[in-house]
Amino acid sequence: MNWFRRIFHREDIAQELAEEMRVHLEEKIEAFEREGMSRDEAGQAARRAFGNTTVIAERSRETWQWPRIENIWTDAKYALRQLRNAPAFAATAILTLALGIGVNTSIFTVFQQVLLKTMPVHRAEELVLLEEHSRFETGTLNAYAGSQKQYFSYPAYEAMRSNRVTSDMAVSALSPVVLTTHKLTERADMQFVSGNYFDVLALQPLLGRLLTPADNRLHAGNPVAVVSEAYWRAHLGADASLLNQTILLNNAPVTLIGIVCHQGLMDGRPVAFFVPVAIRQLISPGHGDPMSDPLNVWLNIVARLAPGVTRTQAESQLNTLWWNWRRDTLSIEKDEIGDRTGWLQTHLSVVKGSRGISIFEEDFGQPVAVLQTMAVIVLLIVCGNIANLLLARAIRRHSELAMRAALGASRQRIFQQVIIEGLILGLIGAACGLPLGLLTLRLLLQATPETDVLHLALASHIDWRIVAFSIAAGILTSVLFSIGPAVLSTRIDLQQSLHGRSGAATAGSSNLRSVLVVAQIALSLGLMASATIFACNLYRLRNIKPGFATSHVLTFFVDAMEQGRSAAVAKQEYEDIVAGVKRLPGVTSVVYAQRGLISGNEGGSNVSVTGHVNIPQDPFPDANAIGPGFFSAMEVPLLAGREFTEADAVPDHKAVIVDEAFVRYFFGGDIQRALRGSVGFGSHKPDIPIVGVIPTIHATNLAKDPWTPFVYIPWTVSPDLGTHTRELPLNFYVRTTGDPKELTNSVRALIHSIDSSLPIDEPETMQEHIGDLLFSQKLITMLSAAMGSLALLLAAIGLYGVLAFSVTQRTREIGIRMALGADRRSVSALVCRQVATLVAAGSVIGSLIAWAAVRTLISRDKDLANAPWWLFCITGAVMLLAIAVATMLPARRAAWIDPMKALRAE
Amino acid sequence: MALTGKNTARDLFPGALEMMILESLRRQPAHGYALVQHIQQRSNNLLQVEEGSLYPALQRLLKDKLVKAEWGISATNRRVRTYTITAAGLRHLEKEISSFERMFEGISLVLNPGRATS
Repeated sequence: MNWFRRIFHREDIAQELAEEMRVHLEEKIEAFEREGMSRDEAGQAARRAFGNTTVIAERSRETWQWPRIENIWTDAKYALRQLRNAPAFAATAILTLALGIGVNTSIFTVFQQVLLKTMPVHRAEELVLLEEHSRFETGTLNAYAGSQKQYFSYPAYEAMRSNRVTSDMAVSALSPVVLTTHKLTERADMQFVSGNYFDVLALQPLLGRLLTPADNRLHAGNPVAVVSEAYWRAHLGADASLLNQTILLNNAPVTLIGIVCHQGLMDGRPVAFFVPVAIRQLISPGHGDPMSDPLNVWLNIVARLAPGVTRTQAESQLNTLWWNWRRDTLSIEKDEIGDRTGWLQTHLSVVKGSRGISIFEEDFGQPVAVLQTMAVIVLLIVCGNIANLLLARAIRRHSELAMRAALGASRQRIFQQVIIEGLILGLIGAACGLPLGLLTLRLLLQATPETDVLHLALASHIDWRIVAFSIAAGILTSVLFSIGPAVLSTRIDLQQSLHGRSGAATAGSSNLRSVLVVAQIALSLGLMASATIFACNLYRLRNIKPGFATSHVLTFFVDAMEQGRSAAVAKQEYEDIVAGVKRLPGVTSVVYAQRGLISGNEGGSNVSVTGHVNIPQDPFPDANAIGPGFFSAMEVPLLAGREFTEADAVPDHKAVIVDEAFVRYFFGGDIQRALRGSVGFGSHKPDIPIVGVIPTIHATNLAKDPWTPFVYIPWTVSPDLGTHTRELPLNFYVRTTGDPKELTNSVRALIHSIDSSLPIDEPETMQEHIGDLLFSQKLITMLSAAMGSLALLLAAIGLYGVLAFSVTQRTREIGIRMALGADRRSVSALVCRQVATLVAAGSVIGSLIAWAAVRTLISRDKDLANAPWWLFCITGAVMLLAIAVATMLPARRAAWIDPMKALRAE
Repeated sequence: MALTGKNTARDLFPGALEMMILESLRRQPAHGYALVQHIQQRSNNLLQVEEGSLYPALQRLLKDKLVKAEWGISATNRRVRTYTITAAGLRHLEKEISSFERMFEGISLVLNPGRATS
């Protein structure tokens, strides 16, 4: 019999078998009759001897089946029919599940992007990044993303490159660039890479060729660049004729030689161009000597381990090379390196590079992990609700199940059937939850400012992992919520069930249901407490006074040097911008600074201060170069001395302003002594007089308390180079009398009229800037609050379900009580008593969970502070309110039961 | 299938029932009820075949094409399904018997080391 017949003639086989067995039984009965039994006795005896015909038939049929699968298929069909017959139940269950799975899907998408994703390259697990830990550092550092410990100088890279533990080692560094083709001028991201970068990552060109070590030379004639596929498609119109054409990067001509797919590599930022590190000076001049200065730190090192070499082995050999290099550098740069012992107390770690340079993990790893945990808890509460629904259903279907058991269905089969019904619910839930989650993600992405790094994390594409996750979530939850009901369904007492009312199973289920409700209340309390912490944190951040004016301020950023203009031209353009903006209506003043306020960019160097003996633990003060009148325009009060004037804004003029934190550390808080003191940068003698002192402001960061000492120098003198004069990009701050937003267009038009090729980002108001900064906090708060509320809602629905069901079950009992004289109030009290126990238990356990959650949260994340106790009280009150509403409805229904009807109904 | 007797009921090894069904059918084609009777008589009532084991076993044999079934009229004038052994069934039976005999010999040697003769 072939498989075709096997499938389509299944019915025949079953019928033949049934007939065969019927005849067999008849013969057996006759045999018993021959032994002298009556017809009835013989029938009973024969059937007893023959055994359970259903089971025998089933086991015989199984021979022909792919045994289990067919049972499962039958059960699935049956389950679907059951769900169709109970649309209210099915809709509730699927909706709840879809919510729970949707929340998990959207958060998991971010979670995997932030914490799990590996780079899509050949054998990514072989890739490693280098990270150094030293007691003392000096020199200049240009870090673009990720941890500052992962940045190295080019000579350090060369020293470590020849080794036996890595098959090859490459460097890369991000940098902004302005692209000019014959069609357009725009700002893009560029990556300086060593010639072997693409080999280390094992990338292949899409078109043309990729960089080779031979390209990595400054004087190799025509400099070359590779463009990323994404940028080529989105910005260059996927124009293949651009290949081997010359484009301008910061006005320097380079030839495009190839196109590469670089999606999601290294730090995940969409890089447009790749150029050899060696031509850095050509494209982005004036950063000291990036190729041979051992103290010019700006490159990430990525390496591929040689086959069979572990990270530990690599670490021990590379450490030797690293230490030797540090020792050699010490002898060359002994003037620059202040703390020689500290310089040699250093360790090189070889860290996993399969995920690239993580720009999210440090800032968002913790919150995202917390959100994922919360989402999983929400899903658990969802499980509780559906388990409750299923239990109620199992009891209502008690007689059906009993009938099936009586007809010979084995316990295993009933168990399997209930589980399969759950699985089907779970899978439908996942199917609805997946698009729901992705939709949520899309909405979040639209709400996220493009400048926020979270934009990258949210913009991840749907891939099989997300789909697999939601299906797995559906399956796991369904097993979780149907196991209890399934076990209860098999514990059917046939005698009782067929003779009368459902008994034993009900008792077991009502215990389970109570436990579920208690767990739900407890878990949702924990979630709400966590959400409270986040909300409180957001409120705190919103109310931080940064220490300078934030209203009526418009800010924009211009870098005239990017375009390769001479310093003189750039300076002239900056002056034109200031003069032009000042003439615009409603503008009271225009000031500028090298680093943007609260932009997160920081940088500085070690200083020497009069009257202070340097020790290795001295902080590196942050520095910023500002224009004249900056503090008065930004409403920062001077504590003593004066602020910079036009007279200071000349090269080599010596004057600095310091902040209170600086005075506190270097002058013991004595402002007057500070005003008589001087400062020197790097290893220079303190010869720059302090002319003013301002209060400490949130200059770089809003969330963190500003504790780093700060030095302000007049713009035109670069802080990191000390004595070198260099034009720098500028952040402009425009004070207005009216709404600063209204000036946006005129500012842009003005800059365009000064130099049409100057790229300018959208001007924004200071309040918008701060709002964007707080966006991630806002998002986290919003999500956690949403999950807290969802949890509470689900717990309330769960409680309502349990009570409503128990009132229905106890209708007769309540009817009797009322017939015996109980009034409505005492009947309501009956219901409320049941709630009181559950809620009390839930609240006690929940408070413990909440306490543990809050403790964990604030101990893990130093930026989170505990919320005041009364806030938790309010949270608790909200929960009690929700519970009260959920109780009131069934309690009222119980009170209005008509005893006559209730008793007659039985 | 089990050995009968109050306290000595024990299951036989897997494949034993199939072997006995095939052996019975080699002597004479039979239907289910007759097979039960036949095995019971041949074993002097030592072996009691349960219907719960018989029918699944018959279906397995059918599936493996070791027996074939036809509807016919029984001695008691009933429409019954009669099983006949096939050529493949015969081959299978020979193999099973010889392997069983070797196993039985082995067990005997272990249990009665002194008396082993064959």
